[in-house]
Amino acid sequence: MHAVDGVSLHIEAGETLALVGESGCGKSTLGKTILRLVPSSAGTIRFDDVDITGLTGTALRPYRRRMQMVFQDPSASLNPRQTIGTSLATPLRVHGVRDRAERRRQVEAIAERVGLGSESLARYPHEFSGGQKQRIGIARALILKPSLVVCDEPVSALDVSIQAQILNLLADLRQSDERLSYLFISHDLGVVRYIADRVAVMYLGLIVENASHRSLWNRPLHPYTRGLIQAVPGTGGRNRTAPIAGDLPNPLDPPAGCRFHPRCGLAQDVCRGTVPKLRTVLPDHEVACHLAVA
Amino acid sequence: MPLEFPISAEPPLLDVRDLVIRFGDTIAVRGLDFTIRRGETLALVGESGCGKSATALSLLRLLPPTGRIDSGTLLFEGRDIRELRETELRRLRGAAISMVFQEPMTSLNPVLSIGRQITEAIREHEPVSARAARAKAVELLDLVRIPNAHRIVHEFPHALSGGMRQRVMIAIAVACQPRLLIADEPTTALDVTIQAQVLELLDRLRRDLNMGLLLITHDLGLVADWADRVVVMYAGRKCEEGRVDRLLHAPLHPYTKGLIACSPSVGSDLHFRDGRMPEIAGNVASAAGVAGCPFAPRCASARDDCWTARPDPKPTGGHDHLLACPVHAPATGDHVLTFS
Repeated sequence: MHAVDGVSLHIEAGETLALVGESGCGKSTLGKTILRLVPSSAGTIRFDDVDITGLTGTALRPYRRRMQMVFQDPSASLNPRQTIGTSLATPLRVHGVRDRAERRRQVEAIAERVGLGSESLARYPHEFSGGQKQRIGIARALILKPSLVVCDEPVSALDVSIQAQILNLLADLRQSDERLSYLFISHDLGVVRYIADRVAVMYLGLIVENASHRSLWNRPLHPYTRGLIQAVPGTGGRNRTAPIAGDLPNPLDPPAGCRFHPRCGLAQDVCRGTVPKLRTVLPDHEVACHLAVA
Repeated sequence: MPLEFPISAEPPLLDVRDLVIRFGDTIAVRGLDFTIRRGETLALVGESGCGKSATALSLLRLLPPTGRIDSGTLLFEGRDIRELRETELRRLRGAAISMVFQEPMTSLNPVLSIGRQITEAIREHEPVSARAARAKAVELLDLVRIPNAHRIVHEFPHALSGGMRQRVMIAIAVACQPRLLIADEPTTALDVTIQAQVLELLDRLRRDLNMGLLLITHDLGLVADWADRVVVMYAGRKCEEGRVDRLLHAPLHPYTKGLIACSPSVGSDLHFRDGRMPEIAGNVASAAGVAGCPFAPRCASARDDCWTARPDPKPTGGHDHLLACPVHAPATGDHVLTFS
C-alpha cells in the first residue's frame, strides 16, 4: 500500500506550507517521512539542497537537529517522569551541548519565548493544561533552532480559545525568525487559512491541488478542495447539505483513474480511466483534475 | 427552520431548572436552566470545564460514581427525572431519551455484530420477535444511509470507518423513536466532510421524528449551521442564551464575543502576516476560587463587583435572549418582558 504515492513538494526558507486532507490521506505519514522518522520506498528528500534520503546514523544527525516536529497530543510526547526542564534540556545534551549552565540558559530562554515562566521548569507534565503542554512541545521543537518544523495537527486537541493562543505563538515565532519554515499538517481549513502561505491538498496519497493561500481560497479548482471548504461548519450558513458523500476509499485498493472520481459530482469518463497529473492552471496554482480550467 | 416565538401552549419537552452538579469538592455545573421543545435543536456550547458533558450525563442519570446532582429539577414531559425509580429510568433510556457519544468505538461492543447491537437495543424496549427486530435493524441502517445494510448487520465495529460507526450509534439511538436525542460532541473525532454528513443525518431525523435535539459541542460553526437556540457555558455557568442567528451576530457576553472572534473561520481573510488572531488570554483554571463571575480573570471589561457578585442570567429585552453580565447588559431597564 502506498500511503504516499508519488508526492512532490517544496518548502522555501521562511515559508509555511500547509498540508490538508482527511484522515487516512497520508499527510501525517508524509510529514514523518520528510523527517526521516518513517522510511521511504522511493523518491528523494532534499534538505537545503542535500539529498538526505539515504542518510542514517551519524550522517543524518546534523540534519536531524535542523528538522523537528510538534505533535498533536502533547501529553503523549512528554515523558511524565521528567521535569519540563529535563525534557527540554535533553535535545541539547544529545546534540553536544556539554556545559550544564549553558543548557540551563538555553532552556530558560526558550521557555520564556513560548510564554512559560521559569518556575515551570521544575514541574512535571501532569501539572500543566493542554495548551501549556503544547507550548512545551513547541519549545522542545525549537530549542535546537531548526530550519524546518513539521507541525502535525498541533492545535486539534485544544479548546478554541487556546488554539488561537497557540496559533499566534507559532506565527510570532515564525515572524521573528525569517529562516524558520513550517510544514503545517491539519484537517482544519480555518486554522490553515490563518497560518499558511501555501496550501497543498492531499487525497489518498496524492497531492490534488497546490497553491498560494490566497489563490486556493479565492479560486479552489479541485472539486475535493471545494467540498472541503464547503464542509467546514459555519461557512454554509444554514446550508444543511453535506457537500461530499461517502467515505475515503480503501487505500489498499484505490479507485482507477482519478482517485476522487467515485465521490465527485462532476466525474466524466476520462476521470474514471486516466490519472490526472498536477498541472499549472493559474499563476502559482497547480491542480490534478481533468476538468479544471482557469 | 427557526422556532416561532412567542411560546406555544404546550409545555417544553425538557425543562431543566437550577441544576447543580458536583464532582467531589468541585462544583461542575452551577444553577443551570434551559428548555428544549420537540422539533427544536438546542446547542450547549463551551470549552473544557464548562460542564456541558456533565449536564448531558445528568439528564439520564449517567454521572460517574464521583459525580452527583446536588440540586435542581429535570422535568421531562412534566416528570422529574431525579425522582424516577431505577426501573422507570431504564425504560426511559434508549427509548424516550437517547444519547449519542463522541467516540463510537468505545460505545460499541467490539465483539458483537452491528446487527446484534441494534436488535438488542430494540428488544430491550419493545416486545418484538428476534426476526422482526432483525428486519428493523436493516431498516434502521438504511435510515441512517449506511450502504449495503444487509451485509453490514453481520459486520463488527472494527470493520467500519469512524463515520459509519457513528451512523450505527445513531441508528441504535433512534431505534425506539426517542422524543429527546442528546448528542454529546457527536462529530469531534470525525473529519469535516464526515461531520457534515452526520449532522445532516441528525437534523433529518430530528425533523422526521419531531425529536428535540440537544447538541453538545465546542464548535461554534456547528451551532451556526445546525442549532435553533444556543446556551453558552463557561466554568459551569450559563453566560448567554438565545436564538442562534441573533446571538452569533450580536453577542453580548465578553466570553461569547471572545469565542466567536477566536474561532478561525474559513470565510475570514485573516492571515498571520496581516495581524494576530484575536485570542482570549489565560485559561479556565483561573476560574477556581473566584466567588463572582468565573470569567473575570480573563475579561477585559471586568469591574470590581464582577469578582464578588455572582452574575445571574437575565432577560435582555431581545426575544428569549438571556445574559449573565451586568457590565454589558443593554440599557433596556424596566421595559423588559419576562416570559415564563
